[in-house]
Amino acid sequence: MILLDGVSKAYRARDGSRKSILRDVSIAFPPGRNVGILGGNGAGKSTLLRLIAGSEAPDAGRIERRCRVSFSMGFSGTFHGGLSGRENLLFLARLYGASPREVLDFVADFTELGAWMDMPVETYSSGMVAKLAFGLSLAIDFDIYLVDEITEVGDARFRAKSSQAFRERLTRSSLILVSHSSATIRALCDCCAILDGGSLTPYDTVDEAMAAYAALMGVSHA
Amino acid sequence: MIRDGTGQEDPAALASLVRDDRAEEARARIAAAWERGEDTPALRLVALLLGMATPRHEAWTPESLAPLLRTPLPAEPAGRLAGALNRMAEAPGAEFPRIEAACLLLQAEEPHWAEQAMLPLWPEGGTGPLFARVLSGIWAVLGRQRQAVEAAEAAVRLDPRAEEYLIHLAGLRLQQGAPGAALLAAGRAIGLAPEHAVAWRMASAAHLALGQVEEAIAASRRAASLSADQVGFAEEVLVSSGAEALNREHAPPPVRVEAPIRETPAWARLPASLPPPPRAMLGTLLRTRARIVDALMLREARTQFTHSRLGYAWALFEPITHVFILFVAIGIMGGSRAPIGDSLPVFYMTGVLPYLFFCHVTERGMHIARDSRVLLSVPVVTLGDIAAARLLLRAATDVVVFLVTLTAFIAMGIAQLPNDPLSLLAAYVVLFVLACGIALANMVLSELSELPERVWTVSLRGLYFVSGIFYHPNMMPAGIREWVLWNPLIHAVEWVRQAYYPLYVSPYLDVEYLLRWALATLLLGGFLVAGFHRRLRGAT
Repeated sequence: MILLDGVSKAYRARDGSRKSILRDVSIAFPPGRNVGILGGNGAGKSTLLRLIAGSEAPDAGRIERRCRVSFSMGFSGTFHGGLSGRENLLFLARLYGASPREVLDFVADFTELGAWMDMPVETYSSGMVAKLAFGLSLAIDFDIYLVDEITEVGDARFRAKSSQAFRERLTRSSLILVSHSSATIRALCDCCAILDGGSLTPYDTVDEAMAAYAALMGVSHA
Repeated sequence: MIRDGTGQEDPAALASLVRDDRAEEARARIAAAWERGEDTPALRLVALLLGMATPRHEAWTPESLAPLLRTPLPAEPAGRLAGALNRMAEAPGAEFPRIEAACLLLQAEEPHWAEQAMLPLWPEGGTGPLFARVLSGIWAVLGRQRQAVEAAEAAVRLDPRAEEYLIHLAGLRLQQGAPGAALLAAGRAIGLAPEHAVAWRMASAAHLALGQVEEAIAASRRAASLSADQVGFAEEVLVSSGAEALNREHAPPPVRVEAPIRETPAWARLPASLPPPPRAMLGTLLRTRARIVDALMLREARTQFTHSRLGYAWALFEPITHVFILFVAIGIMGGSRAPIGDSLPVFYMTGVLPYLFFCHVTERGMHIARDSRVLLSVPVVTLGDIAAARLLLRAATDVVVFLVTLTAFIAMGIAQLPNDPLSLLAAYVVLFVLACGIALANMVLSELSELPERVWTVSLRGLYFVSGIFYHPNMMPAGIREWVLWNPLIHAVEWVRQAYYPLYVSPYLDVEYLLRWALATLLLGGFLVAGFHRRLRGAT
């Protein structure tokens, strides 16, 4: 369960004006619910995910996480280019308090990177980095996964394998997903919330949210 | 009155009887006609449509139908109508023959008959969405708005994913004068088919009816951009919205209908009461932090010198080089006797090493926040962890360098083991606390401006000369010494020397004074960090 209680967050835009991402938002993300988040470009969806993850602190209000919340799925920014894949994994496994041995074994087996595991990450192709990041997300047992757009990597076989592994994980973990693709949200989520103009409006069904979202987009972006 | 001159039931008259409230009458009349022995194709057609059992099965043909219809159908639809009627007669419970027949009857301008063709299966349930949609259309033609909306809603309920049903519903709602409901339906249609021009048109019309002029114009433009057919409509919206705006200027302000307040779905509601999270034990907390700082130190150690192996070598040889440069320089200037002990290099070492330790730790504090953006995005990592990892690692590196230097000097035969290792350790711990406080302050201040870094670099150079590194305070004039003793660093150096040399007791060392300084800088650093915490995390 993740609770947002009266959370506000604003950014200072380049021209000096303040842009509100969240204004006094209260919402709960209960366990067992896969929530899709819709919002226009620049509405602050990624910031919202960072707030939920704890990568960023809110300006006001309280965010409480009563479970293990993942880093943004597939986010590879925390990898150090000069370190090998193995060293990076060891580091992050230690940070998250997971067993380094198990994480290493799982990721090596899952990503099939083989000897590349001992090469510096800066020598990897972007697909390999993405595989490593995805493998790490799965290697650690999070209760809630945060996903900012599902990006698919690797060949068809690897994609099928990842997708299956991810769906399997979703049987015991839940998901907060930001996506532009209504098909993805429909496929993975059972409810939805729309982020717009500083408020986060929850909807009971994906259909309702999609309809409201379409109307909203028609109003402000036609 | 509905009989014509020949005494037979007139098809047109029967058709007009077939209205919702007079269908029973029509049934009665047909039954009566049969009893009288009358039996015309018209009677049988109406009886079939009404779902009555006919005495004789009629195989409908386009020719036999033609005289019964108000508007003769062209050959092809007429054939389809005949086929549909025949299938209806065979399977009165089947939906699709009735749908087809009804659509063709509409084409023949017999909406009442079309309605009757549908009614036997309505609303007994079990009909598909298309059935409801067609019936809704028929009712709309007949002007029965309420029923049309009901059927349209049923169609949407039965198939929520068909945008056409939603657009139809939106149109009905608009006619009904319910623009809010129309907008909702149009919005759902757009959600399903964002490129559907008519859906946008409906949304625009609904916005206009709601007085939301800008939105109406935007949506109509969207419709026009999707389909050239809607260009005219977009222009109309522009014109009528102009009129609307004019009207509004003169008319009293419209009564605004408040949108119903949406209730938050149950899943998203904050629980009314939540047991407080179990308090983590202090031991667990400390273990977690230790684990994280440990991981960060390992990473820091692994990455610190990746860019230059030379940097690593320099860290190792800096103090020794420093000591020998001092030795040579001061030797040339004529000083040659060590103020304490027998060896000048060892005397210099005991000053240079604590001084460099202090420099390195305090300088390491600079730009920690700026350099740590990436690590800070890992939720479990705090700025405190990173600062702790960096400063501890830097201190540990310098301690190792101390041991290496000392070992080298011992190997050269000019130095011996420290006289009081515990006291030496205590001196280093206090020096570390002092340096940490300043490092934290540096961390904050370097984030605010470039100036502090320069000021501190210059200050360190200055401190070099007033910290008793290459001389003993004894060698200073008393007036100057009084001032120099305000510098906490000289006390640290004195403490290190007192701990190192067997017989030396510093006449100037004031441990309590040094402790006060250490505590004060630590508090200062702590307050600065607390005060600028947000800025440190958020600065780019």
